[in-house]
Amino acid sequence: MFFNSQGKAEVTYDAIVVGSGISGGWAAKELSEKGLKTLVLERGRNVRHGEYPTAGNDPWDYEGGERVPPEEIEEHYAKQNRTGYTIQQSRKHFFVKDSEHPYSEVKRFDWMRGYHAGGRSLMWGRQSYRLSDLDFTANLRDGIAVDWPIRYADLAPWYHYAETFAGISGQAEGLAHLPDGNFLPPMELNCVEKELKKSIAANFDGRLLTIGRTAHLTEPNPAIHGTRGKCQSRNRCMRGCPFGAYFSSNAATLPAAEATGNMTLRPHSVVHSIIMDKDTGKAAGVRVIDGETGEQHEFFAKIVFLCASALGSTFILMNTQTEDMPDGLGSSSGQLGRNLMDHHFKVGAQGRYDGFEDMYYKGRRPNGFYIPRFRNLDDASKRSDYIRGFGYQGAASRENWMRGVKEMEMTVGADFKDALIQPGPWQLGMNGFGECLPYEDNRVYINHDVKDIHGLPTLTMDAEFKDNEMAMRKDMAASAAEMLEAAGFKDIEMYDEGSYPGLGIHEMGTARMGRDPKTSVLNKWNQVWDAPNVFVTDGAAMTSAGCQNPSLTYMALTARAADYAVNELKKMNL
Amino acid sequence: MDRRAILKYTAYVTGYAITAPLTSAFLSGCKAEPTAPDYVPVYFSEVTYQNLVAVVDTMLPATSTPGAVEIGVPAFMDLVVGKYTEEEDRLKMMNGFESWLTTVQNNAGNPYHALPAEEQLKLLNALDQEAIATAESLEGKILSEDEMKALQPWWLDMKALAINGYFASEKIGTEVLAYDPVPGPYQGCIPLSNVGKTWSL
Ligand SMILES: Cc1cc2nc3c(=O)[nH]c(=O)nc-3n(C[C@H](O)[C@H](O)[C@H](O)COP(=O)(O)OP(=O)(O)OC[C@H]3O[C@@H](n4cnc5c(N)ncnc54)[C@H](O)[C@@H]3O)c2cc1C
Ligand code: SF4
Repeated sequence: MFFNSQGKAEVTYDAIVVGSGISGGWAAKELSEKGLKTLVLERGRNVRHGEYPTAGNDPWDYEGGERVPPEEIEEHYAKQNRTGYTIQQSRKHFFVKDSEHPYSEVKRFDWMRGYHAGGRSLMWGRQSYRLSDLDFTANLRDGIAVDWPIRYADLAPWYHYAETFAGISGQAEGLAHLPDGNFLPPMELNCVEKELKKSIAANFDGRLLTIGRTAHLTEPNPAIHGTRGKCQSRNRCMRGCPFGAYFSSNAATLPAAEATGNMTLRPHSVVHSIIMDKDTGKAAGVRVIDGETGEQHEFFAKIVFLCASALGSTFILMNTQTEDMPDGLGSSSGQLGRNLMDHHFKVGAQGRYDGFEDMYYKGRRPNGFYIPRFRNLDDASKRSDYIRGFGYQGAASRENWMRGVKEMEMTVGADFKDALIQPGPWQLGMNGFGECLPYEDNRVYINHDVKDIHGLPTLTMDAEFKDNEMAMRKDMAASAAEMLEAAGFKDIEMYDEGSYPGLGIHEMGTARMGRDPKTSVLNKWNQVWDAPNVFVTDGAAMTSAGCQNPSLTYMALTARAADYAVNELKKMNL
Repeated sequence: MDRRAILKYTAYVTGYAITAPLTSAFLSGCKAEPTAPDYVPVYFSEVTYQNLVAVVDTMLPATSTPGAVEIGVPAFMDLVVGKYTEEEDRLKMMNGFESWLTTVQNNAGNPYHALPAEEQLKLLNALDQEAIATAESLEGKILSEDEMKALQPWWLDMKALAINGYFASEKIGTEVLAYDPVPGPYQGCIPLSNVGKTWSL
């Protein structure tokens, strides 16, 4: 039973937003700016902008450098450490402890996340690309899964809107399949990247290299971005940026929501399920377990935005079990929890570039280059071995002292040490990010046998990459090597380090949008077909994955859905 | 598998470090500080540690810039091997190092630390030659990460740790290398002479 010490009026709001990550931050901002009294429920602790304890640390500020003792990793971070780069002294406090928040795997699935105000907007890689009609019509064209209920034209104004406020730096290229955004000035490519760019333009029809599009303020506009500052190329973004130079909920959307006076953020509020009103078939509110006290609370509102991340929101829907819907709210189509997607990556090529020995760079650019998708765009680029496509992210840099290990011919001693004080040869790597298809049998379901630290049931993942992804990976390695070859790189090495679902940290699709309540969970406004005042606007909504980093699309979907929800509320339709 | 695969390092690709399994555990900074002369190793035995100090000194001696021993790299290695390294990796490095020390002593009649400097340098060069041979013998073979890890010569792990400890220390990081904690907007293509050294961060 859930009890409230307060009267119902005190716990009733116009809107409830679950989660304060990228999607929840946007929902909070949009709904409160439109005048709704908005309660944001966040399961983790509060992190106010600027509360980034490790932001200024240098590597030598830790006794063992960034290393974390293996016993600690094994006990608390066995899964979160699978990235190889997240469980470090300066970052680990932004990742969950697997010991407290377990999940189960039928097949390996790497679920990387942080439970705190801001969610993964604090640690994300900030690469921001639009989807296009190539993506929105893909399922229809290929006759797989279901068709998206929206087209690029529906989302384009919302992309523009989200980009303006978030601040996306990038270079317009005029590609139909990777639409330009409302960009801040692009970051610079370095000498070797510029060489590769020239070579690709000269040697490969339909391919191009551009600077990554990234959510960093390269030229802040105080009228839009407030006190957020210009990016200083420190590349310590994953620890939180004291300048607020990259987009995070903490630096951008939550302060905007707070400024309206309409938002209440309640940390340590683990949403258990949605309270359904039997008579109306709509949601009345949500049940919450207080993460600190274990007390149970109920909160009420006219609308609920689920923004707890794709799997977090899916979990809440599944845990909302009623007589009519024993498998959870939104399960009537049988699609809830299915079509789990991620991007597959860790495949590409790298090489050394001889030349530009007298050139260097300044700054630790928090960004790389991007080579947009060039496969299966039209008849000319059609592949017979797989459908969909991939893009590359990469960077060139000069090697540092660690080359003293691999260049074994450099014998140790005085000359060795002095040589390593100088930068080494240029090297360039590019890593493909490929589209994964929505497969019904790639799925997640609720597990009542394993409980988390709050006593809630957990999730079990059962997903894998299949033939289409595997065929694509061969091309991802070969096409990368071919571009390096043409540009004159030496010692080119193709690699495929293997990729498991989840590790791309772009998990999505488990409550997909569609045109038909029989085959989808959400309609074209991100409303749950089974409960129209519940909106799901995070990655769960994705009908297909594209190959672009997805978070910008969640921002646009959230802003669009919030606008719709408020209009419908005004019309008394919700 | 080609030779470079076993020697692969961290390639930074937009926020994603593609890390080779091998030496990745060692690629981060250190708090190497001048070691008190009476430093007592916590993990290494005193005898092994004495030899470690000598190896590190051969590898990264004082020149116009400080040597690795004076800035505390051996103590740092003791700490990292003891507290921050998986048992399997630690045993590999320790056993490899100790059995090599025994061979050295048997052949030379003296422990490593008591040998003349040229002799020491020759011995380390031979370890590099062995590592090259190992890497070349793997050319063309398909190996799993675990197999690769097992085949990685202990010497390379030790060398990586020493180099990392030295260059990512506060002294070298702020006084010898080019240190700039807040660089400002990225400049992609500038003359090396404007910087002069490798960036420390
Ligand atoms: C290292 C890294 C690099 C990345 N790089 C990129 C990139 O370059 N580009 C890109 O587009 N994306 C990137 N991503 C992915 C990106 O972070 C996510 O797509 C994005 O954060 C998803 O937003 P969200 O709001 O849906 O979820 P999140 O940001 O994960 O936020 C969900 C929030 O909900 C809270 N929550 C969950 N369950 C509950 C509950 N039951 N009750 C209350 N609160 C709950 C969580 O605590 C969390 O705060 C990266 C992610 C990581 C970790
Ligand atoms: S690189 Fe830019 S955004 Fe990242 S931490 Fe530094 S100043 Fe902030």
